[in-house]
Amino acid sequence: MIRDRKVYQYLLRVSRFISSAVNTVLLAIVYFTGIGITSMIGKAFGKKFLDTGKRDSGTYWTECKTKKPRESYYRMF
Amino acid sequence: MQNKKTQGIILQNVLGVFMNILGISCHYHDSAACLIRNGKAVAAAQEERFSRIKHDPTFPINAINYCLSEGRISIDDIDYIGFYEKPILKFDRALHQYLETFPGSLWMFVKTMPSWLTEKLKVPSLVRKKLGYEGDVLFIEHHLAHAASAYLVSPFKRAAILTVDAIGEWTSTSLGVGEANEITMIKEIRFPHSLGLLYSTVTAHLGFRVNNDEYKVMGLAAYGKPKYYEDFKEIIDVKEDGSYRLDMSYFDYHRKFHMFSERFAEKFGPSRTPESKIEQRHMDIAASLQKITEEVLFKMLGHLYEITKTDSLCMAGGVALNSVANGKITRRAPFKKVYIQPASTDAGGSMGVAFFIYNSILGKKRGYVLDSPFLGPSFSENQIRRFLEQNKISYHEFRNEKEIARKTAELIYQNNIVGWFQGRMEWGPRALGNRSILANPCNPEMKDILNRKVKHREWFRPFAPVVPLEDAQRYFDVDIPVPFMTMVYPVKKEKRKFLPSVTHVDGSGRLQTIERKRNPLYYDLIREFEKLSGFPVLINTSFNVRGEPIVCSPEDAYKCFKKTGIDYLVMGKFLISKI
Repeated sequence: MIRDRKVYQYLLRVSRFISSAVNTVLLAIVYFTGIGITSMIGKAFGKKFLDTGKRDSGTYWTECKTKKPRESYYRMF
Repeated sequence: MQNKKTQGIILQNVLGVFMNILGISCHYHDSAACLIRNGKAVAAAQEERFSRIKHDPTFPINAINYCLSEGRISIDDIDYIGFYEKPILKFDRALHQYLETFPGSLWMFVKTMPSWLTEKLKVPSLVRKKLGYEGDVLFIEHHLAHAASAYLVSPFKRAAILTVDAIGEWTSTSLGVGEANEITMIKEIRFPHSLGLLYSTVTAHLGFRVNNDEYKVMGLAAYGKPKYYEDFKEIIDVKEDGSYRLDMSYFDYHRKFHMFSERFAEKFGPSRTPESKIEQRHMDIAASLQKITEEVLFKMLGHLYEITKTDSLCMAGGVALNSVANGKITRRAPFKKVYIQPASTDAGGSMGVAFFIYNSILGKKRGYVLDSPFLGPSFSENQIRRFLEQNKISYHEFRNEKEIARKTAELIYQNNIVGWFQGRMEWGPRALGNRSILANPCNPEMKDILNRKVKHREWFRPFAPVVPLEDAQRYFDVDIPVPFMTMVYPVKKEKRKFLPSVTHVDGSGRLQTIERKRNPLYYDLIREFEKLSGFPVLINTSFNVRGEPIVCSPEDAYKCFKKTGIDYLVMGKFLISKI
């Protein structure tokens, strides 16, 4: 019984490792093909995905959008 | 066997008299749940108190189960569930981070994407799966949840609202106004510019944990001089209207799991290794950060007042727990009345979304003020007695509350450290008199004794005093009630020598004011202590040890009592002694 549990725990660890390795490889592929290509094309056309650059203006506040319709609260965006 | 109250609640639920709304916050830090019924808070608690994992970010299943049980309802009786942010907007921001910082964001992408795909973007199905809930799940933006968590439970009919934290979806700081049931967000500052993340960056640089130890940096600031103020001015551009912008070359948090860049370390020196010696440089950095934080906050508050022209202010978000800055608001900003709810961090978002659904989306009238933090679990005398007897723990049973207060005051006066476990657990990060460790503030050694025997925390961190509201101005330069320990005020100069263990190095104290109607036993205990010592003040620190959440159950309290140097434990009417 104890031996079975140890084997099970060992196999669980192995499966987690394999799952993590596969995830990492697949996500890396997605990263370089999806994120990478989009990022390079965007930047080639001067797109800034985050407002990280330096700029000086009178204020850094941005106006909030006006009141949202009730349906918007049913959405995750 | 259901009692009459439970039967009544079930009947009224069946008849549709009650409207139950459950608010949930989770997936980042301090996950929590809050149940409101007909616009009044019934129960609220953080998951960490049940799971015993500090700042537990996981789906708050234990906190939800507690809320349902406190409300004597099942999930079928819930009319709406609200979630404290908009997951897809947050994912949109994460994608923009990956895109902007490609290829440096590879590791961040690989590490975070699984949780996005399995949990964070699947909130409705997660709620259905974990709770068996079939109704609607509503989503509001993170800073709107913060704003609602403060304004909708405040005593104000109209108030200016400031929310400042690390980051929500895109927003890190926002200004708004609340009027009757409505909240209007007016202006915001967006990621990657964030006052909260600046504070967290310095927290990391000083060798403390992000999203956990920011208050330590605030405590450390009192020991330093703001020698690095001009350096901070170079990395944050602050306008007269309080808007600000960070020079992102000093930061790494937008591209990797690391807060500060090499350039930051060049400017402020090498980062401190956790648990290593704290040098004067670290204190000066903390003091400079505190100064620039206050400068930004007070400029923002000035601008907010100009826009809203109201003298009432509600604040929420992690930065709203900067009690040193909060204590200066009524003196340095035009606001006369301030409300900061006890759980103003992300946990409070669960309460915010629940009240927003009830008051703002459904348009129901406001009729509740959160003036008591006791929304967590309580344990009956029988439950405590059963626990003690099952575990063969010897105890003394007090005859009545008068004896509890008198005897406990004697123990504290004799310089014993007392674990104090009474009634319902507090909502929010502060122990406010029901899950507290109490000690004698008049003993100059008590800070060191508490640290050595119980808390094992950094030498520079002060302990907090509690004082009856009517005596607060005799001991502190305080101008408004502070029931939730959210503000620091100077201890009156002539009183400092009498209260050495609660007076911080800069002469201040993060006090709690207490009214008898809010917690009679706690109040009476302070009065009994006054009869012995001449001072109506106690040390009140949270009932936990370093690195653990505040205790929730009698079992947690007893475990903490056993493994620390707490001398006595008072649980309900039972006294447990170690001596």
